[in-house]
Amino acid sequence: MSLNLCADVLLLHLARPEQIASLTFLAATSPLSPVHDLAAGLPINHGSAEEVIALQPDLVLVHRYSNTHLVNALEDLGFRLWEVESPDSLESAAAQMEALALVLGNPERGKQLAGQLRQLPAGSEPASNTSPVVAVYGPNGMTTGAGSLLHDLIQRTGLRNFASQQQLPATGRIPLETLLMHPPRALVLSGEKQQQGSTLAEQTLQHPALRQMAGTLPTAHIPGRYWSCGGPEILEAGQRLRQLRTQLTAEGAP
Amino acid sequence: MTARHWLLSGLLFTVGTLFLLSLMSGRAELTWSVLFGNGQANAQLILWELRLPRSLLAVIVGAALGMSGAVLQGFMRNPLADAGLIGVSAGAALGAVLTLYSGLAALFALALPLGGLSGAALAVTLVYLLAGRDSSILTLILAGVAINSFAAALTSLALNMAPNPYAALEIVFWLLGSLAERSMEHVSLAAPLILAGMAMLMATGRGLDALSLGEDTARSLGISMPLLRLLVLGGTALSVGAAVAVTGSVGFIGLVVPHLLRPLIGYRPSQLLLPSALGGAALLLAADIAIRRMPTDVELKLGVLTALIGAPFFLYLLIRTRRQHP
Repeated sequence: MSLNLCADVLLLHLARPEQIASLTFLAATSPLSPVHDLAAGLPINHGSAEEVIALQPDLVLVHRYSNTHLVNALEDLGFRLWEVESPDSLESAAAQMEALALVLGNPERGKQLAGQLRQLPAGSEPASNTSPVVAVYGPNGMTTGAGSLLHDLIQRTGLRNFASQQQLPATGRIPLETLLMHPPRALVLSGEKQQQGSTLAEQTLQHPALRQMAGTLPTAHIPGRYWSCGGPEILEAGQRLRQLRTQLTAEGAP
Repeated sequence: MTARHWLLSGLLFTVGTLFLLSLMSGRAELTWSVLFGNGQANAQLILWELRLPRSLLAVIVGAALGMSGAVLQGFMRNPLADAGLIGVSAGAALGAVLTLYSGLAALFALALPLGGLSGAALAVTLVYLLAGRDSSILTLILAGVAINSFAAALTSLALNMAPNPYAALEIVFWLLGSLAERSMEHVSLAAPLILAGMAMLMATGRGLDALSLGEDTARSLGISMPLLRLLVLGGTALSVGAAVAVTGSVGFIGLVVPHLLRPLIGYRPSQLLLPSALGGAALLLAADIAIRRMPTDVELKLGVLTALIGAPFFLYLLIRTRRQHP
């Protein structure tokens, strides 16, 4: 049973369907979920201790940032918990999958997916001081610097990350002015292309200044759901980054 | 030149200076020569697509808030009337939020300011019905508190129900206001409605002067009360509603500015309207420059600064008026 969207993602990829007692309601419905198809039709919960007690699962997956009151209550009630982390590198994402697969009794599945992740940046040179700089820009100017999975992937693909050049943390914000003053060689837009209703955060992606800039730069669309949980969706993110790198090489970037 | 002309030219000069300073404030270091078309393309982009709309919005939104404060104080004959305090801004925010997150604003752009306008109209009418003119200060403030918290609660309800996961995080913007990363599209969306609203407010001058002598005297001077009411409530709804729809609700400008200027002008409400608009523009520009020049990692919301200045001022006014009318 899982109480967190990222835990849902890992569980769906690593467990056999009959092992899954319940997922969060987000897995099948949230625009942030990359696993709509896999989650369809499975039982859901809304992340409360009451639902856990009712189901009496053998294992409860929580996230490092899950509500601490909930986690403490479940511990007191004697449930076996497993805490999912937001991985900070490809290696830690692969290791987490192996570890969880072992707990679930499917070590082969874990090894197979972790293996795919580990050879992800195959065929590209790691970034050097002359590699082209790429900026990740999401709703509200959200970006990701050193110490994040996407940063690791960017480096391994032979690109330098704008956010880490600006000394921004794993979760940071780029003011649009800063981006325009130090133009990167390429953009990675991490917003969703199709969203119901628009928010102010996503309107920053529609700003004329950004659109003008994006019009002149090679751009990849990699929504957050491909990389924020550390599931195998990261393979798709890697694929898109590699295309961007190829395009830049074709344009004569070092 | 009369003293009033000196004051108006002084205010105009202040707004002009602050406007230029505002164009030069931000994360990126720009030199003055950028203004004359020099510098790299991206510096031009920053100036024209980021800073110009921001400064223009500060001017027109500040002017709308300042003028509506002066008009409301004159009309309700209550020194504590202000769009923010009596809940008009909160109503406008609710209207804007409903159109934005329901996706209506994506269908046709004008839906956003129109939503803000309807919310503001509803709130200002409600306050007027609840407290009316010549009500005690207490009644007005209590009506304002009720409308403010009700509108804020509905706003956060709407944001929490929105299908988009980012929506719930944006309550801060609607409650505290911000001019960050607005574009020319926002200016062209809001400016015509704001200016129309301000034109209506400007037309209330003679009526407000007459009203200060009492309602009966005003009638005998040939002032049509229904028309005056329509101009005040409609003008406030238009100008504040459209302003809040693009910048969130920035508090206290409309409260502070008329009080600062009144001692310099005398107590004729009509004389206060234009100076209050200019004063509001200057104050909002100054506040927006200040938050950009502060060395904080994440820019403060505009309403944080205006509340830091405005709330103590509000308390001071409250104490002073209580002493005058115990």
